[in-house]
Amino acid sequence: MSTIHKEGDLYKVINLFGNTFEVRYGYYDEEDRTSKFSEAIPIYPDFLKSPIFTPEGYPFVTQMQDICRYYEGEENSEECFSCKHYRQGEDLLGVCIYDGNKKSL
Amino acid sequence: MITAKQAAEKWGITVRRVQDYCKSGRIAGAERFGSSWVIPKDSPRPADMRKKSPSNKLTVEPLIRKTPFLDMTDLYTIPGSAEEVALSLSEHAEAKLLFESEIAYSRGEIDKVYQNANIILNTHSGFYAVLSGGMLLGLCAMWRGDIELWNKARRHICEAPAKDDNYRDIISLSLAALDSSVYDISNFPEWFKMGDFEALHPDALSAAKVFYINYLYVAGLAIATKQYELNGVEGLTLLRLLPNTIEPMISDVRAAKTVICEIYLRIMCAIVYHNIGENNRAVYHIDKAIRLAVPDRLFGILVEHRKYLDNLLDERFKAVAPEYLEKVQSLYAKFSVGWSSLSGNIRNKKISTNLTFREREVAKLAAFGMSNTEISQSLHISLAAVKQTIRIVFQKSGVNNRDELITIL
Repeated sequence: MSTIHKEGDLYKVINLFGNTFEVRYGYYDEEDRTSKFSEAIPIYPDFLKSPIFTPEGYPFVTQMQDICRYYEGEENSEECFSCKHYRQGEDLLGVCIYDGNKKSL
Repeated sequence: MITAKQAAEKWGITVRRVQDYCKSGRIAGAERFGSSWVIPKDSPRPADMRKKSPSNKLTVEPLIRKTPFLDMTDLYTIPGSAEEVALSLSEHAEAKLLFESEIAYSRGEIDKVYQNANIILNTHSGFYAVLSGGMLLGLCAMWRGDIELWNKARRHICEAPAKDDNYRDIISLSLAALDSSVYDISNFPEWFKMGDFEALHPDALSAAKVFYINYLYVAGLAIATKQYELNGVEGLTLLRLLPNTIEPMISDVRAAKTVICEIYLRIMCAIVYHNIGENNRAVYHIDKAIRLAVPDRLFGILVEHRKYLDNLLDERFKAVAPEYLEKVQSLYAKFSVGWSSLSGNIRNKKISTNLTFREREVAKLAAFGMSNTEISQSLHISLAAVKQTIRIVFQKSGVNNRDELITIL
C-alpha cells in the first residue's frame, strides 16, 4: 500500500547533467487539492514556463511535457517521452537533444 | 412495428435473446430505434439454432443450477448466527465441517480453511465433497498467491467422481468460477463466450448466482478493455446493464435470507455502479453489505473486492463501522499480495500492487480508452496530474503504453 504524503514533503533530489532538482509533493492546481481523488504528488518543474538547460545548452524536459513542433515519434502520443529526441535522465526528468531546441551559448 | 420487449413477451423468450436475433440479422425488417430495437409486428420467431439431443430436449442450459460451494452458507440466514448454525450441525460432521470452512473463508481465516479443506479431501470421496474441498483449496491459493496449490486444487476438482455429463458440466463451471476470481476468462464456458446471457433460473443456488454475476462483470471488463471481443456487445454497455440483472437477484436472496450470497451480490453490484459512475447507488449497497458482515466479521468477502471500489469501502467503514476499518485494511494487505501474485502468474502478467487509489483509477480509465482530457474531466483533477499519473503508473508497473495497462489491473 502506498504511503500518503503531505504537501511540501520531499520526494527526491535529482542530480542530472550538472543541475539539482528538489522535487516535493504538492498539487498542480486547486482542483487536484479538492478532488475526491486528492493526492499530493511529486511536482516537477514546468520547463515550458521556466526553461532550464544542461551545460551544453540542451533543454530539460519531463516525460509528460507537451511536444514541440520538432516532435518525431508515435503518432498518437503528445508527450516528449515518445519523441526520438528525448533522452531519459532520472525518474520523470530527461533532456531534449534536438539541436533546434538547443540554447545558443 | 413492436418493441423488443413486446416481441419477447409474444414469443416467450427473453428481451436479450430478441436483441441478439436483431443484431445478428435474423429478424427481417428489424430496425434500431435509439438504444433498442423495433420489429415488424408479424415477424415469426426465429428458429432456435441450438443443438438438440436425440430426446428433442434442449441440451444447452444457461447455467447449471447446482454448484456446491456456498451451498452450506445458505443455512446462515441471520447475521450473527454462525455459531448457532454450526452447533445445529453437530450430528452431521461433513456438513458442519463444510459450513465452518465457508464461514472461515468469509472471514478471511485462510489457515483454517486450508486445514478443513484437506480434512474434507482426506476423509471423503463423494463428488460434492471432493469438489468443495478442491474449490476451498483454490480459494486458499488465491489468498496465499500459491500457484502450486492452485494447480493442485484444480486437479482435485477435475478428478471429482463425475457420473455423467451434468456432473462434468458442474466441474467445468467450478473451474470457470475459480478462474473468474482471478479475472481469467479464457476457460469460460462456450455458451457464455458466445454472449448467450440468459436470465439465470430463479431457483438457481446461491453459488450459481454469485458466480454468474462474477462472470458477467469479468467478461464486461474484458470486453471494455479490448481483451476480448464479443460480436455486437460493447463492454461498457454490458457493465451499465448489469445492475438490471443484479438488483432483482439481490431482492430474491434477501427474501430467501441467504445472507452471505446477499453480501457478495451487493458488493459486486457496488463495484458495477462505481465503475459506471453511480457512486450513490454503490454506497447504498456497500453500507448494506457492511451491516450484514459485521455481526460475524465476514470481512473476507468485502476485502476480496476492496480494490475495485478504490477508497469507497474504507470511507464507508469509517462511517458505518469504524472500529473494524483497521482489521479490514490489514486483511486486504494480506489478500492483495497473494491475489496479485497468483493472478499475475496465471495470466502471465505483472499485477501492480503498489498503485495508489488515484493511480489505479486513472489507469483503469486509460485502459478503457479514455483520453487524458476525458479522464481529467471525469475525476476532476488537472490534466497535468493525469498525464503525470499515467507516467508514474508506467514506471511502477513496467508497461510501456496504454494498451498494456489492463495487464496490470
